[in-house]
Amino acid sequence: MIWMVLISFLFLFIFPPQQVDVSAQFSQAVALQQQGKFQEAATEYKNILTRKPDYVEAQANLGVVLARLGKNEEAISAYETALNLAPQLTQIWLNVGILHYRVSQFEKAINAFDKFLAAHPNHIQARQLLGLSLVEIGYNTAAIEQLEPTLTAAPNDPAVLYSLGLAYLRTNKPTQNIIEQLNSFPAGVASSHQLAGLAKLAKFEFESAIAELKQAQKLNPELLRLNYSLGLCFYKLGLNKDGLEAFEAEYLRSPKDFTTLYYLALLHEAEGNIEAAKKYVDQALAMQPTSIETITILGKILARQGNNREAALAIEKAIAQDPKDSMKHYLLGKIYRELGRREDSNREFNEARRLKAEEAKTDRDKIIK
Amino acid sequence: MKLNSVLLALLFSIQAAFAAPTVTFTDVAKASGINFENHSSKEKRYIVESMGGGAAFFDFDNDGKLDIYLVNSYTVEDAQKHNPQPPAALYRNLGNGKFEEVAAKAGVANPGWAMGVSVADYDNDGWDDLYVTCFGANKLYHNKGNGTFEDVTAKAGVGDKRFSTGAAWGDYDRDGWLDLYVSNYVDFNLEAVPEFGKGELCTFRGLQVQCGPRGLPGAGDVLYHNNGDGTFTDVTKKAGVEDKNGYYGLGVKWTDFDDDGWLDIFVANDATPNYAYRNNHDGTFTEIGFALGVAVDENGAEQGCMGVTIGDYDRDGKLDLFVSNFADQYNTLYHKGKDGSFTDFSTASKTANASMPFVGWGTRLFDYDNDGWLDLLVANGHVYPQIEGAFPGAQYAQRKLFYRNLRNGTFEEIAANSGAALMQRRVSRGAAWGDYDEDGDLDVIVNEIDGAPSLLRNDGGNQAGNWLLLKLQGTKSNRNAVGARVTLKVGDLAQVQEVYAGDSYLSHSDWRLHFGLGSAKIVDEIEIKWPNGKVEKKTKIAANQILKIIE
Repeated sequence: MIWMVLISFLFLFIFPPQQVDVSAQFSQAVALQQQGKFQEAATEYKNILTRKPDYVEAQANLGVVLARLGKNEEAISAYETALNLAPQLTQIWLNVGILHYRVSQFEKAINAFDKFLAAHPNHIQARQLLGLSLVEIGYNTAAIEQLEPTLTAAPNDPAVLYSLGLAYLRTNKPTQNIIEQLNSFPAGVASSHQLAGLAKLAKFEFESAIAELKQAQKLNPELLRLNYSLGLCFYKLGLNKDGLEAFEAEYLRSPKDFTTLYYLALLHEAEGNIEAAKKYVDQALAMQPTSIETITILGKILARQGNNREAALAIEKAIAQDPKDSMKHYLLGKIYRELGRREDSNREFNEARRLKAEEAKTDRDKIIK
Repeated sequence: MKLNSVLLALLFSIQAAFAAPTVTFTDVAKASGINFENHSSKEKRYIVESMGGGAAFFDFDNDGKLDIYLVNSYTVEDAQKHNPQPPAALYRNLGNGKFEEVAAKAGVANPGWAMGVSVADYDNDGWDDLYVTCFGANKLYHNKGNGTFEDVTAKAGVGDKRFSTGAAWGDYDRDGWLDLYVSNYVDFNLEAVPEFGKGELCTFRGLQVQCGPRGLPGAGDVLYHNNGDGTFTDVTKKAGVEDKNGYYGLGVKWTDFDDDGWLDIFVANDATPNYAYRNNHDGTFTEIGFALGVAVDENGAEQGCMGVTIGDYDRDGKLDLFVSNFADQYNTLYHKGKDGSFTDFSTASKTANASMPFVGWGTRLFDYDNDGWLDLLVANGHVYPQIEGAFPGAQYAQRKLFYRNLRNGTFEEIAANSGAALMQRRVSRGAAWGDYDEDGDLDVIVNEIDGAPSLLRNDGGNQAGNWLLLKLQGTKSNRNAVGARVTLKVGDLAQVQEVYAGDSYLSHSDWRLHFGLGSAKIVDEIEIKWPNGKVEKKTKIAANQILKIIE
C-alpha cells in the first residue's frame, strides 16, 4: 500500500563497486546500512566520496541513509548529485519524489515522479504518489487522471481512495461511492469518515462535518490533516477556542504546514492572544513571505501591540497586492486614525465604503425571479 | 482565627456579594389574557414572510399603565389570493395583571402587512400616536384621546409604500416637533417573487431557502420632517439620507453619538454596512459609519444586522451600541472610546461566542436586577424553517440569550438560570421593555413570528436593588422628551441614558427611563439635558418611585 511505500520506501543501491581501491570500504558501508547502522554507514559513504567524489553508487546510497536518518534536505542533495553524475539511474527520481512529498514540497515531488514515470510508466506506486502530490497542490483534475487508473491494481488503498475522493470533492464530483468503498474494509473506515466530514464541510454543514471528523479521529487519530479540518469547522462556527485546540494538535504533527500556521495566527489574534499570534504569524511568513492574508494578520497584531507605524506598513503592503479588498482598507483606516493621519484615514474609510457598495451591487444580478 | 481562614471567609463574602441575585423571567402572556397569534407562512419561502413582528409598550389611554401593541404578519400566498390579513392587537392594561384586547375598537387592528411599530406624540397633544411600518403603505394612527385612533396617514403624508421595517422619531432640527426616519428593506414585488432556493444567494449551508436580502435590490430609506401642523415633508434627499447604496435597513435609532446636542441616526443594515448619519445642524446629515467604527465588525466585514440598543454598559459616561445579528456572525458590541469613535468589543466583553448559532432580533441593554449595571437580552429565532434538524444543533426556533453584567467590562450568559421562559425555543422578532406591572423592574414583551407572544415578567428584580423610573415631559422640547439625556449620580458612579422613540427590533419600549440603584436609597443628582439644549438638575431624590419631571 502507498503508506508502506512512504514508510519503508527507498531503493537501496547495491551496485558492484567500480573502483577497486574503495570496494572494501563500500562493502563495509552497505553492510552497516543493511544492519540499520545508518549514522555509521553515512560516515563511511562520506569518507568514500571524499576519496572518489564521482562514485555515484556511494552518492545514491548516502541519500538513502540520510533519508533514514531524517535528514531529508541533505538526502535530496545527495540524490541530486548522484543524478548529475549518472542521469541514467532513473530509480533515484522515485526516492527524490518521496522525500519531497514527505517534506511537503509537492511541486518538486511531482517533477521527480514525472521523471521517474517517464522511464517506468507502469510503476503503480509512483503514479499513486504523483496523484497524491497533485491533490496536495490542488491540481485535482490531473490527480484524478493519475489516480483512477491505479484503482484496478490497488482497489483498497485508503490513501489513494481518500485522495481521489478529495479530488472529486474539489471538482464537484460525487464522493459517496468513494466514501462507501472506504467504509467497506477495516483500514478504510477512518478515512471514510474523514472524507464524509470534508464533504459536509464543503456544503457548510459544519456541525455534521465535526461529527464525522471526530468519528474518524476516534478510529485513527493519526490521519493527516484531520485536526486541520476540525479546526476549520470550529472556526467557521465561531468556536475559536475549539478551533485553536484542533489547529494546535495539527501543528504538533505538521509544524511546517503553512495553512495551519495561518489559522493559528488568525484565531489567536481574534482571541486577543497576541504573543501566540505573533509566534505563528512569524513562522507562516517565514514560509510564505508574500502571503497577503498573513501580512494582514501581522498588521492587526502590530496594531494591537500599539505599533501602528509598522502595522500601517504591513497593511499597505497587503493592499498594494489586493487593492479591492474593502476589509483591508477599513483596517488601514483605523490604523491611520490611531496615528493621527486623519486625511489618510478618511480616504481609506471612503474607499472601504465605496468597495462595499460595489460588492453589494455585484450581487444584485444573482437572484432568479 | 488563622489568616487563611480570614482570607477564605473574605473571598466567600465577596463572591456572595456579587453572586447573581435570584431574578427570573416568567412568561405570563396567556395568564394575562394575551391570546394573540402571529400568522406567517410555515415554510417562509419569501423574505417578506420572515421580517415582521414589532411590539410596543406604551400608554395609549394615559391611565398610567403600560399597554401593548403587537403587529401581525401575512403570507405571499394569501396576499396573491387577496385573503384577509390577520389583525394586529392592542392590549389595554387593566392594572391587575390582566389585559383586554381592544385593537378593533381602537381602530388599529388592520394596518396592512405590518412589520414594525413606533410610538410618538407627534403633534404634542399629550396622547401617544402610533406609526406602523408595512410591506405596502405605512400607517400613522393619531390618538384621539378617547380610546380610539384615526388613520391620518394620507393627511400627514407619511405613507411610504415600499417594504418598510424600522421607524424612529427624533427632533433633528430642534424645533420641538418629532421628525420620523423610516428604514426600508428590499424592493420586493409580489408579481415577480424570487424563486425559492435557486441560485447561490438562495441557499444556506447547502439547503434551499428563501432568497435575500443580499442580491435583491434595496428599497431606500426616508426622512419625514414634521411641519408642526399635522403634516410632514419628505426631506430625504435634501437631508442626504436616501440610502444611495440600496442597503437593507432594519433597526433604527436616533441618538446623539457625537455628544453635540443634536440627534444623529443609526441604521442597522442587514447583510450590508450599517449607516451612521451625523447631524450637520443645518438639516443635512453626513454618513460616517466607517469612520465612526459602527459600519462593520472589527475585521471590516458587514454583518446581518437586525436590532439595536444603546446604553453605557461600562459606566464610563459614554453610550455604547449593541447590534443583534444573523447566525454564524457574532452580535456586535461597539464600545465608545475617549475620542468618540467606537471599537468592536464583542470578544473582549465575552458576548460574542455564545451568540454565533443564533439569529438575533429584539434586544436591549437594561438593568434586570437593579444593581445599576446594564445587562443584555437578545430574542432569537432563525429565518429558515428548513434548517431545523438539518445538521446537528440546527434550530429554527431558538432560545434567548441573556447576559449579566459582571461590572468589569465583561458579561456572563445566564439564560439557563433565569427562568424556563428564556430557554424555551421560539421564533422571536420584536421585543419591547417596560415595567407593565409597576413594581420597579423591567419586563419584556416579545412578538414571535410563528405564534403566541411572550410577556416576560421580571420576578425579583425589584427585590435585588432599589430603582427609579423617570418620566420626562417636554414643554419647549418635544413632549415625549425624545433625545433628552439624563445623567444620574449616586456616590462616585454615574449612569447615562437617552430617551428614545424606536427601539430594539422594529419596536417601541416604555418612555420612562429605568435606573437600578443597588442599595442606594437616595439619588444624589439627576441632570437632564433637554432636547433643546437646556440643562436642569434635581438633587437628593428618593429611590423606588416613578418620578415625573416636566421641562
